[in-house]
Amino acid sequence: MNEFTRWTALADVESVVHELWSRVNESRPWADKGASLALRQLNLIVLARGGRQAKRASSVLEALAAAFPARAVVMAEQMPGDRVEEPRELLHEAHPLARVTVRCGAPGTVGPPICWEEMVVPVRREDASLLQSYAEPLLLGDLPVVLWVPQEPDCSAQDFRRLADMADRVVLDSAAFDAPIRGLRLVADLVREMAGHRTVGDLSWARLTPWRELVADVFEDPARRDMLDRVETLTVGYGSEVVDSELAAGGEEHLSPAVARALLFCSWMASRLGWVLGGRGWHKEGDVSVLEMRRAGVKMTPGSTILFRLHPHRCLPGEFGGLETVTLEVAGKTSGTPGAVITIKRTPDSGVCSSRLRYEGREVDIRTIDMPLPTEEALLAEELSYVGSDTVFEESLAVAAQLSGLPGSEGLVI
Amino acid sequence: MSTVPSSNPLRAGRRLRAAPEPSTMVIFGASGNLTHRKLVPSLYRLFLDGRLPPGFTVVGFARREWSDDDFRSSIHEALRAAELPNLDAELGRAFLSSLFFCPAEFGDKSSYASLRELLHQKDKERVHSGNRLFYLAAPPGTYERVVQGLGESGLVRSGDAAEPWTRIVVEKPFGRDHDSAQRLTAALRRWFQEEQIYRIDHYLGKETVQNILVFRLANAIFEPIWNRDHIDHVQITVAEDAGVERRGGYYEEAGALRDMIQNHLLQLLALVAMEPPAAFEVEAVRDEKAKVLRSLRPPTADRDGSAVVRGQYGAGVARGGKVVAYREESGVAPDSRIETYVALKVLLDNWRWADVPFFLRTGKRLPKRMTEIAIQFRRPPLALFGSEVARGLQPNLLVMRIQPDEGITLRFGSKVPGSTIRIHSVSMDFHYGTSFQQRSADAYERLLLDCLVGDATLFNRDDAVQMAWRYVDSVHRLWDEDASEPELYEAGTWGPSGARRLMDESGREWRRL
Repeated sequence: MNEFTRWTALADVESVVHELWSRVNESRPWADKGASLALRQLNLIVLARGGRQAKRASSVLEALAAAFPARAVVMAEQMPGDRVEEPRELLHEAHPLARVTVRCGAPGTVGPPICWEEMVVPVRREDASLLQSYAEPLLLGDLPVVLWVPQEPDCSAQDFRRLADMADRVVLDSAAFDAPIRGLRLVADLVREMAGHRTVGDLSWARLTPWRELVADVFEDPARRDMLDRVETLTVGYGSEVVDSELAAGGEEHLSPAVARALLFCSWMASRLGWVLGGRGWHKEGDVSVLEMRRAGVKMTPGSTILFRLHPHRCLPGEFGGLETVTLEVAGKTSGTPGAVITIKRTPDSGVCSSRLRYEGREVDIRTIDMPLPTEEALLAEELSYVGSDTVFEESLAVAAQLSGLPGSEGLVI
Repeated sequence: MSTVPSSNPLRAGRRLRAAPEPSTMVIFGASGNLTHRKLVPSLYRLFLDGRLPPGFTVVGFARREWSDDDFRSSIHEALRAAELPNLDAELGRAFLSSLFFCPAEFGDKSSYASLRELLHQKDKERVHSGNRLFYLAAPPGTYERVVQGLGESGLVRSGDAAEPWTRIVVEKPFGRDHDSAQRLTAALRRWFQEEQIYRIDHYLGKETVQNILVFRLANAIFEPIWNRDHIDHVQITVAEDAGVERRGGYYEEAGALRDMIQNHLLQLLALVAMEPPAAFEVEAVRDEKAKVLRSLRPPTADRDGSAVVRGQYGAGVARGGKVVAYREESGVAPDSRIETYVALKVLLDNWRWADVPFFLRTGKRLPKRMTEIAIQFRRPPLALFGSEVARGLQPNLLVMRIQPDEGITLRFGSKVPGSTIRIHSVSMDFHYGTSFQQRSADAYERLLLDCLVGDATLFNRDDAVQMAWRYVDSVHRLWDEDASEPELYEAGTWGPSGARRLMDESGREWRRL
């Protein structure tokens, strides 16, 4: 790994980048492998809160450098307790400063090294309104701009709005929001506001991809597809870190985000299959939150409704609280004929996830896959893979936002 | 009254990958090398990646008295040898439990009856609708018997879209000349529609081979110069550093012309030279490839511009050690006249490529293993900077590397920094491995998946195969008329001197690889 770093005034960033690339090229031990073409696919701006988050973002960007070669600009909002990193001798000369880094690391035995560049700009709290003016000159022309915000942004704040206005795509993580159910509504609002100008992605949606794929697989066989018209119950089991004492003390602020993901999953099914609200709102059956839905265009009769059941499973604080099971109960073709149960279950210990169909007294394995917990790198990579809007996400999110505001939704807390 | 949607509504959107319908794959020759070294490892990787259809089942069919467990053990060993992960974990066990075996004789009717019984049973147990992929991984001499056995036992469905599908994958060689290829086609077509036949050439599953079309047709800057006005010549090289190894017996029947030129190299040529298809659809792409093969000018003895060189490796040094001559290899006749090297100057009689030579070369025991396509452009019409200044300047060259380091290189002239004008050629390199840090699917993985989803774009259609054989047969006729032997070349060198002469005569030279 060859790495060169220099602090510089913002105005001098480009000349420093050029100088550092020259130093990398002079010192590279892999010169015999030929010159590497510096491919850059995008500008990636990270709005990080505090030094720790900026460091974490840098390591995520490093992991993605080969797949998404980018001009990375990390705007590091300084938090109380962050130590000043800028060299003191430069602080009086110019402000703000940027730490420019270029790195080259050989990827393996074949091919040239992977090289990338990054600028970290520490931003004082009082200068937050200047974020956009700091970032804009650092961007490369003609390349798309992606803004990644790893924490909950203040969506109404001018600094966030201005940064978002520069971007073609804004990537958020509603699971990292202080209140994840409310987070779904915030992201839905943002999607609606930005429609037509820029697109919004949510790492929480990317977390659902393997689950959605497994459920879709079950109905890949046309012979099973009619079961979709006979689904009676959709139960999503999710891990929840909440314990009763915390609930009493802190309410939504202490919740595991998985309840929001479970709701988003149900909303995806509803949007794809034309299920609309049937009942008035959520009610509780023990720990389980229940909502009645119905098939669009079908009168509310017995058999026309679908129950959503969000079922929390307790897990210890610090354990992963993600989806654990998805169960679809399907009525028989005619009254009196046996139905079917489709279960998709992830075993947390092994990370293996299996789908099974119980049908006519038999149980059939449909698929078994490895479903490791996704890393932030993998989730961001998925979001960066898509340009343009993801209408399936947007429609699902709109349903989730609607369902999360129904009477009784305050009970979606464990 | 509800209606069953024709497509899966839950599959909608861009993120969820297209999934094949549940199906059963029957491998004929399941005890063989191809199954153990290529097919099942590829299936297992697809399984680990979640790409196989739900409830996918594999049935091995071979001349072994194996039980299901014997077959699974044998496959387990092969997967272990391939160093594939999770074999003894839940995932590995789930995969192995989807394998079944049918002991059989290829020519025995009762074997096909047993197979039919087994397939029905598995369909029922695994709630399948009965889609079947038959894979001919047995020796080519058995193909016709297997096809007949399948047909007569009622295991082949018509190809009607309303019924579960039946497809058959045929491994190369598709015959050994035009006549035998026609016979094989007739045998296949007795039971299968052309749309059900997948003639596999694993070269076409390689990422860079697929990228040839993307590169040409998704980038507006290349297509306008992709013709005789701008391109001087094209070189296609498939070099192998290995000898014939244990395949001496097979190679004595085939030779480099049948083994490599008829399929791999002519397919690469077709992708480089084809016209843009009207749509990126199976038949549109295959139509254009077939037109290229139809326009190949057969070589003639009076060398009307085309030329053919054949060689055979002698003893030498390769891969850092002494190696024996081809004629001393196991299974090879001591006076063999089989070619282990072929170089061709190929001309296409069509509007786009008239008079642009395509130089094809392939050989065994060459200095390194490498496959690439190099497109050399014409020089600028004027030497504006003077001949002395441009001494180090080579014509523009576009190289598509297919293996081992998949990627693309563009060579162009650049001023050497300094107060005077000096020009040097420099290269811009694009490497698949480093630019997209995700593992490229192995060619067999890609092609198996295509068979399962019913996409035949990367498979050879009958007319293309026949036309390739016509061309190869014309070369063989020339050699039959010519009593001379293949020119010997030392193992570990770049082929016989005749190959260099072939280039010299046209005022060009082979790229140094």
